[in-house]
Order: sequence, then C-alpha cells, then structure tokens
Amino acid sequence: MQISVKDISKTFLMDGSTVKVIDNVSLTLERGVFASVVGTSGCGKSTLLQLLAGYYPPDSGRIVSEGNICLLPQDDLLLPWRNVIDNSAIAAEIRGSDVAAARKRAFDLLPLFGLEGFGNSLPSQLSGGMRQRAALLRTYIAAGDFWLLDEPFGKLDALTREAMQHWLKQVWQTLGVGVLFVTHDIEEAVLLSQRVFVMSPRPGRIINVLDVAADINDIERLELKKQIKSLL
Amino acid sequence: MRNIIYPTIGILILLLIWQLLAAAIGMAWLLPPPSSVVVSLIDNAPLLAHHSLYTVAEALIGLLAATVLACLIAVVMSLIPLVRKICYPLLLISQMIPIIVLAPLFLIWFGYGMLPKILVVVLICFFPIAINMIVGLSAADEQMLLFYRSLGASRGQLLRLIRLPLALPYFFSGLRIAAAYSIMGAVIGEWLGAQSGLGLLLTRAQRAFDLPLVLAAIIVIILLSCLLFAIIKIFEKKFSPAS
Repeated sequence: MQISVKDISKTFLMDGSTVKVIDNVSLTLERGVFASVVGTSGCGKSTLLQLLAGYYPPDSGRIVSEGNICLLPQDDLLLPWRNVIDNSAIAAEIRGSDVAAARKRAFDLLPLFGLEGFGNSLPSQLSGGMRQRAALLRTYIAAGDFWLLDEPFGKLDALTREAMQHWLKQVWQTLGVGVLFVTHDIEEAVLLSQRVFVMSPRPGRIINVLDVAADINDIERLELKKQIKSLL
Repeated sequence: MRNIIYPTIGILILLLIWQLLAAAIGMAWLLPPPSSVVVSLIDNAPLLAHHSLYTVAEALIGLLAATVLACLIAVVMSLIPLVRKICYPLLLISQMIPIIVLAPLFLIWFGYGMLPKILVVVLICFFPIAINMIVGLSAADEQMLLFYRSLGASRGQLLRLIRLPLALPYFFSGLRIAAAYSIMGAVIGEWLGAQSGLGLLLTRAQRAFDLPLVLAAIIVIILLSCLLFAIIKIFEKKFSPAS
C-alpha cells in the first residue's frame, strides 16, 4: 500500500502576483515507512502536505493513494468544546460511519497515546504535548494508513519535544502506519526517519532523497546531517 | 458576593443623594423622594403587575421572533456571500431609522393591539443578535475549515459541527444586549398608543402629574430588564460553557 505523487505543481495568487510554491514534485511513500521532508521555512513543505491531504487540488500532476490519509496541522485544531474522545471520533461523525465504534477505538487507544484517564478532558485542560497526542489520536481514528505531520513539535519546549520524538517513533512502530513528517530541523528528521526528502527553497522541489540506515552510527549520522545542511 | 456589594453601594449612594435633594427642594410633587416612590410602588402593585404582564408578553414574543429571524438571516448571509452583500447595508439602514418615528407608523398600519409593539421590539432586538451572529459565524479560521473539509465535512456539517458552536458565545452576548433592550422597546411601542402596558400607564400617570407612579413604573421596567438579562445569563452558563 502506498501513496504515489507524480509531477505535482501548485501556484498561488499572492497580492496580485502568482507565486509557484510547489514545482514538479514526485515521491512515493509506502505504508510502514517513516519519511521526512526537510526544507527551510516557506519552501512549500506545508503546501505539499496540504495537497496530499486534499485541501486543494494540484495545478498539474497526480496524487494516487491506496489508503486513508490524514493531516495533523501545525495547530492541533482540536475543537475546544469537545473532550478528547469526542474530538477523536469526529471523522466518523462527519463520514456517517459508526461513531460508537470510533469512540470505543479511541478509548482503547488512550494508553498508547499517553492519555489514559484523560478521555473526558477538554483540550484546554491538557498540556501542549498531550494536546498534540490527542490530535494524533484523532488523526489515527480518521486514517489508519498514512499520517502527514506538519511540524508537530514546533511549538513544544525542548524537553517535551525530545520525549515526544521518542514516543512518536514508538507509536509508529506499534501501529505500522506510513508517516510523512515535515520539519525544518535536520536533527529531528535524521533521528526519526528512514528516508529524508530534501526540499529546495521556493519554488519547492525535491532536490535529494537520502536513506537513513537502521543501524546508523553516530559518525555516519553526523556526516548525513552535514550532507543535508550543504544541500539546503 | 463581592460583585453584588459594589453595585449595591452605588445604588444606595444614588438613592441617598436623591432623598437629600428631594428634601432640600421640598416640593414632593415636583421631585418625589424615593420613600414616596416606594409607597406608590406598594400601593399600585396590582395595577403595575397587570400592565407589566402585557409589556413582558410583548417583549418576550418580540425577543423570540427577533432571535429566530436574526439567526436565520445570519446563517443564510454567512453561507451565501451574495445574500450577505445585498443584506448587510439593509441591516445597517434598519438601525438608522429612529424607532420613535417608526412606531407611530406601525400604529397606523397595525392598530392599537400588541402587534405594533412586538414589531418595535423585533426591530430593536434583531440587530445586536444578527450582527453578533454574523461575526461569530465567521470566527472559524480558514485552516480549521480546510482541515475539517479534508476529513470530508460538507458545508452543512462545517456549520453544525464547527461554525455554530464557535458562534455560540457571540450569539449570547448579542442576546444579552437584545434582552436588556426588549422591555424598553415594548414600552416605547406602548407609549405612542396602547390599550394596556407599562408604557400606557406611564403616559397616564404623567398626564395626571402622579410622579411617584411614573418613577415606580420606571423602577419596574428596570427590574424586569434586569430579570430578563439574568435569565439569559443562566441560559448562557448552561449552553455555552466554553465562553
């Protein structure tokens, strides 16, 4: 099962002039693979994810997905008047599928998402890290195949961030989903991913694809980070 | 408790100044002291209650009609941009017409019954609710709507699941203002010609130079408005806990 993206481009109208944000991007992502997209701010990383999530269609090119996709936006966009379970089950409600089953699934997954005992809590009662995990639970209930994560840890403090990175890796291994993780943090990308897509500044192109070996050692990791840095 | 103490102090100071002023002037028929207003309030209680009943009925029916109308129009305006562009100026214009001028017209068109008073209430209460609802319905940011649309939400679902709940606190702040105005609206309507109601009682008492009764009626109007305001506040606490 995979997502394949072929030659997609996207141009936006900004202040009366057209700006090409995504230029001929192609990539494939298999289910079970953790891949990152690294690039400088404003290079079109978020737009790429939004195109994959179906926010808007690409001007040209094709996106074919064999599974469900859900985006985790930069802001968690949890609905403040709904508790964690109700927020998680919202996709089922929208699609008219079995809401009770979705709520039950969300409830059963609370421990894995570090939210045990917080099913009835409102987002305002949760810490930043917990909100992000609740939003990821909503993502998983909405789509069990592919996650598109848009700088999910960008707003967290360094300590929480590190804990969340380890937690995410563990959850990914447990659930076996395909992850496309957007970040401007090379360190984070190399730490988490099996594959790194390096994106050029605007208009965004994929300028290199690097594989991260599972048994990578510290020296190799340092070399890889240097290599990515030189590309950006 | 503390938020009751300070307003009470303010009211007591006002009453004290009033009492002293009335005593200094010494002409009770011109400026009756608070004590004689209280006496009038007690003496005329059945009369005031009888007329209040009509005024409250008009205010409540008008407020309810205004609420339904304002919400409907706000929803339609926020769903269809063309309707919004056409209706927005009309909405503003409706607020620029002095009600006091319009009310006699209603009297000519609809007679001396309750209908013209209800219409005045609707006209006064409609605007704050509609404007707040329109602002509230556009409170959802673009990213939020795009995200939930990507989950498959239709326009109707976006409205029901996201935009309406987000608009709820705005709705209630509009409704609170409207409720506070509604009694006044009914009184204005009655003032210009009625068979019953506090407005009619006020005009009669004024012509009879019964100033204690005039002031007693005004106090009843204030109390009824406060009561309505408080009831809305309770509703708000119950249905809009997020605000």
